[in-house]
Amino acid sequence: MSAPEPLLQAEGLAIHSAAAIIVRDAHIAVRPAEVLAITGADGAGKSLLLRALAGLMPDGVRMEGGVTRPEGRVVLLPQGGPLTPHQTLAAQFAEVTGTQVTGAREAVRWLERLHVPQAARRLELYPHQLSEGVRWRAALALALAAEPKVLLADAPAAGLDPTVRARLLAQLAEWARETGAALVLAGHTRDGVAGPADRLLVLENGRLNPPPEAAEPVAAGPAPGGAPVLSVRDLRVTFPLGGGLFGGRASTLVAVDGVSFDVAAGETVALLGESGSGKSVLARAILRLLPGATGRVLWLGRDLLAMGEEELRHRRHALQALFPHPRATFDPRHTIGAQVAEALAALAPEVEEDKRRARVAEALADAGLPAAAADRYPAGLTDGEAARAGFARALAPAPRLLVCDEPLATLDATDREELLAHLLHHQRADGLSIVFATEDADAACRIGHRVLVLLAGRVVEEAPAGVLAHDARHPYTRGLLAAAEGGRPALAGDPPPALRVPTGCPARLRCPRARDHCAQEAPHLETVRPGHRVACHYWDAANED
Amino acid sequence: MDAGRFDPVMETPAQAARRRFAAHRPAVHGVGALAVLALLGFVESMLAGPSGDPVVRALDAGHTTLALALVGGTLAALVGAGWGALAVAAGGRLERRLTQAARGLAALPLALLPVLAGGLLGRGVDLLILTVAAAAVPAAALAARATLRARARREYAMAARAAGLTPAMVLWRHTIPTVAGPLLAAVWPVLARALAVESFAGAVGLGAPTPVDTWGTLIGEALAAQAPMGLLAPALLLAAALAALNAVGDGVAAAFPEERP
Repeated sequence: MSAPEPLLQAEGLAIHSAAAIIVRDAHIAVRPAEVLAITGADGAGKSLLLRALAGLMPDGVRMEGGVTRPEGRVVLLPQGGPLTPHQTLAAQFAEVTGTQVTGAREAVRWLERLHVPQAARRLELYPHQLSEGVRWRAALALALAAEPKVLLADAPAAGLDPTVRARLLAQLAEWARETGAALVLAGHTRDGVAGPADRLLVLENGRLNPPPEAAEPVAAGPAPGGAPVLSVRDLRVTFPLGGGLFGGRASTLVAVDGVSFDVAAGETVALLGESGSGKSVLARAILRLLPGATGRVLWLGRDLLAMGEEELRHRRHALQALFPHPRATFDPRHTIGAQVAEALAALAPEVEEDKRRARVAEALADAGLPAAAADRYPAGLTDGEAARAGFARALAPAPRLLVCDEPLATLDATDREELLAHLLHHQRADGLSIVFATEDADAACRIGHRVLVLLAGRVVEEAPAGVLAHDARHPYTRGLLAAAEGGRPALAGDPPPALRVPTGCPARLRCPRARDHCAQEAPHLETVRPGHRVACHYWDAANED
Repeated sequence: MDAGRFDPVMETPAQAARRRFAAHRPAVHGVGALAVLALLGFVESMLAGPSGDPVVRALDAGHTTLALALVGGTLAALVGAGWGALAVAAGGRLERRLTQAARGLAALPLALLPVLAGGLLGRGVDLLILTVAAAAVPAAALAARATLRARARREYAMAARAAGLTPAMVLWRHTIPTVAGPLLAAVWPVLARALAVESFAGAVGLGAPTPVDTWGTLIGEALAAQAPMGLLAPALLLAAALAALNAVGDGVAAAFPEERP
């Protein structure tokens, strides 16, 4: 049986502006029911390539070569999934389908298929009244309601949580395979577009190629034993939310609720969770960078939360941190070298001035930066260089504990693997203990020895990384793992907002196993096997989800 | 190694701010126009034309008017910046109260304040400056708070804490120098507001006391004397000064753009 004719085909496609050639000699063929993913770094030309395929070139950019596409049935979903701001959803659907009645019917059908609760009621809303998750679903539903033969989606659902995004992308792929449409997804590798795709192409330096052979992914060494160096006990972090001027009711937001764990020397504990799960707050509270933390954080037996400011500062050289958005963690007005030196001077005042300069140069070189980077300002660094500078500053005082809060989330796959390898190299060489907060279950299981899964500020599952990767029991953990693999998570809907966590089990509104009992009582951690605990009433139910 | 001036990678933040300001042509012209307006009075008195001529009097009044606006505006900017900084530093309920108070005051017709004070308490330069400043403070406080809120709570402050700096060191070395430029851009419109408020008081005859000429009092005199030709010179100079101040403000704002995350 011969393969069907491609629906969308580009032969020798070239795109160039007056200043530069953006894409050269690209060959693309997408058959019916096929899903193609195109990835590339920032500014690689992914968006322009999609526009060229849709035949919508912006002014000042020219394309050459032939693109064959089906007559009039090509839909381009631009970056950010824009909706018309001054029209209700109903009006926008009516515009696509032609009439009010079919518009509303189609809208409800598609929104419900994408798991928008109470879809019919939302039709009267304007885009700004929708949450980010629902807005993206509406944008996708609008594209699907147009019944395209070819759908070109630019970074679809980027910025949503991986679980939510992976499910939406999987649903898009399902739709393409059911209806025989061709689907092209473009985006960063970190946008997860490769997950549901049949084929992957990488756009690099203007060339469109199949991806290179993946290198062996870095992974942590065997778990070290030994007594814990860091013990967190019943850590609770709350933020006061005041009332209004005329005495609205003051309330508190509980960001982290009674978390306990131990970290041994040379061990990595990964904190895994969606945004809003409390992992960042937990990471910062461990180093006492946030007010409002209660409980105990014992570092070598001394409670960091109870000690005086001065004593804490003397211990900070052993306790370092990496933050998300590495460039924002540097003061834009000082050079990188000056800021690494400033940190070193504050953390290790015993190092003399001239030796300090050598230590700074050493730290920058160790992190993989050229010597000239010391004289650069943060604005002059790429994301990867800024992340390396952050590593240099954190590792210069030779810490014994490194608390990482999503330090690699904004990086490309290559940079991310390099920096993970760098981190693990330091762990092996210096016995560094690491607390690593991330929303990427794959990274958590690879570099963590133990993984704590967080939801609504509480640990809902806790296991050695190898066990968690193959035998996770909590539906939420399984959703995170499925999202990291590019599969379809069984969690419906969006993460609950921090102030409206449901009663009982915080996962129950999205959970495929939820029963009445879940609403009445919050589950406690139960032991599955030694070292593996889970907070789910039905953890021993068959893992059909 | 030559730190090349036009190498965007090696450019210092101060150089970048200067380059962005210089690239904003109306702002550069605005600086020139303000300098000319302030100095013309001196030139004119040296040339010693007929002293009753309305054009000569208007040119003479330039530096007085601008000095009054500058002193009043600076006072308002300082108080407003302090108000905004206090709100952001306090956070929580106190921040909301301070902000709501500023918002409430800003909604009042504060331009009438110098007129009211001039009518009730008599005309005086000190009183005029104080009331002009008071009229501009709430808007300055709101602008300062918005800017500080967006810029002061940045990750670098937390990273500096993690790097062992004391809160005072973080404040002096990092937070204050970083917010200074954007804060200047935020409170700059206060100068134009002070100039406008002062001129309004002068125009209704309750501005600077009699021997002191400002564009506002000259406009007021011309209106009282029903002399349209006398109106022309001070009104045009006032309009030019307001336009120049706003253009410079745009340039200062362009010099300190939002940073990319």
